[in-house]
Amino acid sequence: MKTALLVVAVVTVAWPASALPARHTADVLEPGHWSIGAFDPLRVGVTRDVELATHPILDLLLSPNVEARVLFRRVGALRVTGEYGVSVPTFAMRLTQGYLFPSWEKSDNRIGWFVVPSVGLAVSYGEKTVATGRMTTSIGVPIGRNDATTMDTWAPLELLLAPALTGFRSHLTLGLDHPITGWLRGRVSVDGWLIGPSDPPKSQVFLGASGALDLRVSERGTLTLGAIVYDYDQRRTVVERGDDGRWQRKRVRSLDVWPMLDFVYRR
Amino acid sequence: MRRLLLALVAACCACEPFADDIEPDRVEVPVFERAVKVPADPAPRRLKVMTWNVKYGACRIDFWFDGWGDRVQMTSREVRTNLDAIERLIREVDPDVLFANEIEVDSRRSAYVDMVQDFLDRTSLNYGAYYQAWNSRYVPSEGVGRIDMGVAIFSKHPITYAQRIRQEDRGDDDPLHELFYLHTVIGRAHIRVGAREIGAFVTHVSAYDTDGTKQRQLKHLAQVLEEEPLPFVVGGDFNELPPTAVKIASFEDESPDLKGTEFEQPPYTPEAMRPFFDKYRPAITLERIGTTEESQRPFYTHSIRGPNHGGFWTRQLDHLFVNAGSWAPGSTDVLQSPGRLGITSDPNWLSDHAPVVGTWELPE
Repeated sequence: MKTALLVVAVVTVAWPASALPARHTADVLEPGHWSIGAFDPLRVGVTRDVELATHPILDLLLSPNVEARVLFRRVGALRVTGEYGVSVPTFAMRLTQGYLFPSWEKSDNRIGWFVVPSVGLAVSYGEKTVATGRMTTSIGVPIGRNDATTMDTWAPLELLLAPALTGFRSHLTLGLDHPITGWLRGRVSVDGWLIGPSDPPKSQVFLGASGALDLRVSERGTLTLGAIVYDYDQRRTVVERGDDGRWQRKRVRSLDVWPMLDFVYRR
Repeated sequence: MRRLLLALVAACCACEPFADDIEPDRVEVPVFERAVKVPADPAPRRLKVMTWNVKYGACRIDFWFDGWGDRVQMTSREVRTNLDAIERLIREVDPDVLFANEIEVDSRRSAYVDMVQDFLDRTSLNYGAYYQAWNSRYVPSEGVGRIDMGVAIFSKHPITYAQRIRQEDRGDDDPLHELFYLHTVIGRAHIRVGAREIGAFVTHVSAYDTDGTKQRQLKHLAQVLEEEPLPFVVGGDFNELPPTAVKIASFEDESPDLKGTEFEQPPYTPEAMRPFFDKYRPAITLERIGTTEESQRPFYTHSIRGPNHGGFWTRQLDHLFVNAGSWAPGSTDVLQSPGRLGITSDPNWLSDHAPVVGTWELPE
């Protein structure tokens, strides 16, 4: 206990000057500033109103992606930002053939080319405690023939490839980011996604909620710890007795909890 | 190691585990029913029994592990069309008891169709016990995805008790493979036939192991049968040739592409079936199949390659036995083609296994 208090005291004294910024807001980085995380995108401030972002892990998986975030308006504590992205998931999908997708070694079936443009709007309010709402829609534009279908797999992967495999993905999120101390912030959000249809039909709605703590561990480094819960239809069934006394197989939604762990470095 | 993997997986995320280890060793399972019962003979003295590996409703679509194609899943429409044809043959035979192998209830490759309820709804069978053998939330191999497959016993007469008996897993799988791969189970049921009860067992032992697992599973099945106090019938895909089989290797329907893969057929060990033929009464006797390839060919029940590749049945893997009573003369056969026992469907188009049928004269 004494050690923990000592660590808290040292951390508090060491970096008291600049408050830990809120994350996942409508704010854009200032020109010349940048940040990167293991899962958080690489963000680079280009001008006072424009920031570019890309997810390095997806880039490493040969799924190039880039997003331009343009600050439209700043009125007092209100910020409104447009978000425009494009990605090409085909390489990543082909990289996982034999695992997530069929190899198709005997037919000419193939994973097709897709371009996934996205457009979104983020609105944040507040300086210290920041409330953010964001709506984003991504559309999968096929180029030529594609034989890959939805995977019905875990929510993060299913949502990632939903634009290509189901046609689109819309995401609405509402979040609140609150400073607890100068070196610790707490963040909660609720999420809803709508994806395109699949065969056979299933619920196209994904729901989510998350909570996380951002802990400053150095002048420029932030450790994120948290969890996210997904509620969605992954084709699960359970056997129950029906009203007529007969055993019946019923479709139920899946509920998964995933840990969130990240280290974000910013300059 | 497997438990460690499962624990790690559970700690990482999901409320529903990655895969079900199919524990415990013996567990009672629910019996599904037809919504509106088809009247059955209230005091039958004989039962028509059918055993059929229905290949998860794929008919002759060439799946990737067969070596002749690379399909991984079917559309809803394909599954519906296939099941219509499969159920048509079941209605033609009109069995009192049906043993089904490779039946699925919630698998991506068969469009998540509940085939147990589908069989009940579209045939004259009133009760169905499903014995889950493979339950993986997502198999990350060739995009197989979710799978829920097993064996089933269907009956026109009430199934009063159904029990799943787990068999040992293959010993030659790595822990990760073992986690996601199918297990082996015996389905046991008690069926009330008029005033008496009979036992019924369905089996589907390992196909591709190379460490003697199949032989041990067959011994285990023999032990389980030994313990059954009721007169019983046992059927299914034994994945083994009869002890007097003449052709036991170099089957022409095996794709050369499977050589060296996990789906290469290991050598058969027909003597492993000897105890069943010695102790029980087979629907297709050794005398009947004779001792030449020509005499045995009419009783072959399996071929990997279907008529779409000019294939026909190449070996006998599916068997039916009773421990008491007898098979009605002229009632037993392997339904290889139209005309056998009067059927008009062509089973060679409906699965990679042919049904075996017989009428069991119940003991007094």
